[in-house]
Amino acid sequence: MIKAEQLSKTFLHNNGPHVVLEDLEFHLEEKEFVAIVGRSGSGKSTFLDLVMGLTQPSSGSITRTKPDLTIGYVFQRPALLPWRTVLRNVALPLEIAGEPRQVWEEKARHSLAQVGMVHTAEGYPFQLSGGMAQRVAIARALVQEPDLLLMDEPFGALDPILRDNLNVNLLKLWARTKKTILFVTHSINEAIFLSDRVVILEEGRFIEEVVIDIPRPRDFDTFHSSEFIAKVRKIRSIMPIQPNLPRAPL
Amino acid sequence: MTFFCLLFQFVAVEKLTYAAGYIPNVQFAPFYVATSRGYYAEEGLELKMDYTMGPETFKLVALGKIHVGSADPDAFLHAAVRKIPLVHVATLYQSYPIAMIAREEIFEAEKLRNKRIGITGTYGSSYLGLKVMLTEMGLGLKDVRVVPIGFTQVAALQQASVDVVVGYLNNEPVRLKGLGLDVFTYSPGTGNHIPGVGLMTSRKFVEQHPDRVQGFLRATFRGMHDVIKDPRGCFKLVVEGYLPQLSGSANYEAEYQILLATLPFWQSEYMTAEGYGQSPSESWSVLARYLQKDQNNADYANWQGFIDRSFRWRPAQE
Amino acid sequence: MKIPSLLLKTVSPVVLVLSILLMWQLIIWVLSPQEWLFPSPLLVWTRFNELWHANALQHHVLVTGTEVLAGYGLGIFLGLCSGYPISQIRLLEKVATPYLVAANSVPLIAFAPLLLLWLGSGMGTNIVVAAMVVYFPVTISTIAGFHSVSPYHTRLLHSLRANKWQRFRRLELPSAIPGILAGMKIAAPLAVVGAVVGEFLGTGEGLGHLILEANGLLDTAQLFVAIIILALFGICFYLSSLGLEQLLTGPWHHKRRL
Repeated sequence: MIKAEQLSKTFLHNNGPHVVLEDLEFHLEEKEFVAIVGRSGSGKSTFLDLVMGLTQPSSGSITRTKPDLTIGYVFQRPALLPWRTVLRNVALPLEIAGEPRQVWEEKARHSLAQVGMVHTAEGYPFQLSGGMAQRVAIARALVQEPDLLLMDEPFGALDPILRDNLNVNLLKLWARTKKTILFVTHSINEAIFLSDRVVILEEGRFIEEVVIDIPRPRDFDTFHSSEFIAKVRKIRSIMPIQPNLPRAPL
Repeated sequence: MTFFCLLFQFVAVEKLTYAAGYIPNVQFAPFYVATSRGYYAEEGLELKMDYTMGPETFKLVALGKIHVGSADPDAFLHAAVRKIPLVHVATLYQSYPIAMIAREEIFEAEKLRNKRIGITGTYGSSYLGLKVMLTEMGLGLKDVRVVPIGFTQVAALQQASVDVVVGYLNNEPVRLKGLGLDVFTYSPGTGNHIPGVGLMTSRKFVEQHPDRVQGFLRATFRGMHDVIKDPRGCFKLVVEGYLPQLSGSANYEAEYQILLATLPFWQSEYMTAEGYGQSPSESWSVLARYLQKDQNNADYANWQGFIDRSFRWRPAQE
Repeated sequence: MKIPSLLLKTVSPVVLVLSILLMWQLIIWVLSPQEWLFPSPLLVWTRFNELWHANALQHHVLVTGTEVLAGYGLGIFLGLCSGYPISQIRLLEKVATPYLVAANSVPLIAFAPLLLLWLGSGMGTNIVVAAMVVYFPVTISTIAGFHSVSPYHTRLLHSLRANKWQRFRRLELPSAIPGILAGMKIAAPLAVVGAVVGEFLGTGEGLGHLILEANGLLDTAQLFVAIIILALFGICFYLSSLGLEQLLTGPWHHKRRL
């Protein structure tokens, strides 16, 4: 579905060019759940922007096998518009695409149902807790029934117990809807739990890929299984411990 | 001995505030001259000039915050009708120099119809004067176009943004002639003469200190008499003491001309006969009748209760 | 016993007005000032009735009301039109901001006599003065409003491939509305002042003229009538802005968390 070859991206800053991504090779097949793990500043968001087509590569290529690929995007923060009801927030992508009211209203409700949030449809974002809001954001990303779902550390701002809960629910959703998901996180545990394979991004390069062959369906118990712990150990050993990289040259 | 003299000085001189109703200018010459030549001091008074503008002076005098104030006669009657406790004690201007001023001879009904008449504002003495003059010509307010122009009379005529202005004979025509422009004027007819600007004080003050009021009036009219007798000399005195911005300026002569143009309004046959200080009783009646009709209020007829016409002063025979 | 909030909302302004009237009357009873200095509420009410029945008020109220409304509307319209471009173009903003701040700090009504000289006296000039004093706070708060757009939201709309107009309509404008309304609330009483100042300088019409006339006639009751009507104008405009704010942002504002 997605193929990147010798993909590079360089940003120009006041004190010189900053190479964010260098010579990436990547492929993504349909119905896969792939996690990208990397520390803050390793270029994860930039990679997602390239996949989305929001920015162009400095060199190399990124191709989509389907020409009009629809992509849903979930951010780190829910980014719900406070002046719109939950329902209208979910419907936003359809409104922008020009769909009539009956269509977007029905699709938005359906999407909310998929994340279990239909009862909040007439409420406003300020009434939602962090976790609830993020679920609404996921519903929004799904409302156009995209081929690909990009998720950029969507649960990063939430507390760990809630996070685990959402992870389990996400897998259930994925099993139901059979989407292709590319999930970016800096949590090794989360990456392993969710995905079929984990790609490790370090200093702008994909340094390693680890296949996660833990059987599905996975649930809370998976976190304690020996296979899980083994994968954690493996990935930890690959990722070097270094000081944090800045987002832009200091 | 010196101590007692000083004490006497301290006790004998009473401060007296006078609200002139406008910013310092040559028309206040009598007050300036009387102060310079010590006439107030001779009456045991020390004059302090106050330059608050407009109708506020009425309330200030009534409240006793100021002792004596200048009074437009129609405003005074308005105050009297509102039962503000004031007494009118003397008249400074024997007639009101209100006039319509234009650069063409258009002061008859058919020529004046629909012309633009510039006036300070549609209230006050000038508005009343305008109504009187229009009535004399057989016109009403709706037959002309009244345009409020604030204090820009001279500029308005110069630039012809209006056809006529309502102003004062001793002011705008003098200034316009000074700019080399010819002017024509129209004033209210003799039958419609009303008193000019006068002096008022609060009822309380005149009841408690009649001597100070008398002293103030005497000294003031002595000053006025001096100015009439020797305008050039007094003008010099006034400029040096109170209007220093005029000395050496281009306006020096122009302001002197204004002073000269003012002198006739301080005098009249009535004044020559009776002495300084009052206007004929008839002029007050005319005014009262006019206001009664204009304001539709019968209370204006009771003006006698507020106007004390007892003060007179004659200069000592030289 | 819980008092329903709607009842509270309608009763409290009434209570406020009544208490002001009571305090006024109390001052009259205690100090017994002269009628011509400080009239009682009853006297002012009587004078109001006299003027109303003599048809001496209606025209002036209409004149001032029109000036305030037109000035307010014009000032807001121009403020919005200039505020948006300035907020979007960085260079323009750098250049314009010092002038805006300076102009907002100067008491603009001091320019009214100058405007009168250039434009002549009349309702038009008063509308211009009112629009001028409204323009600056509205522009400044419009700029602030458009600056308050969250970068996350901008990224979201960008990722949804929204075009410029959609971005404006669905994101920028709703984000800016609280800021814009704040400016409108500030400007409401200013519009009244602006319109009246022009009238003070002598247009012969309007509530400002009534005030001058009342002053000249030493009719303090009439003065109070005019002043109270002006105050009501200011309050009306303020409440309309408040109402608009409640309408547009009521359900969700001041509770932003996301």
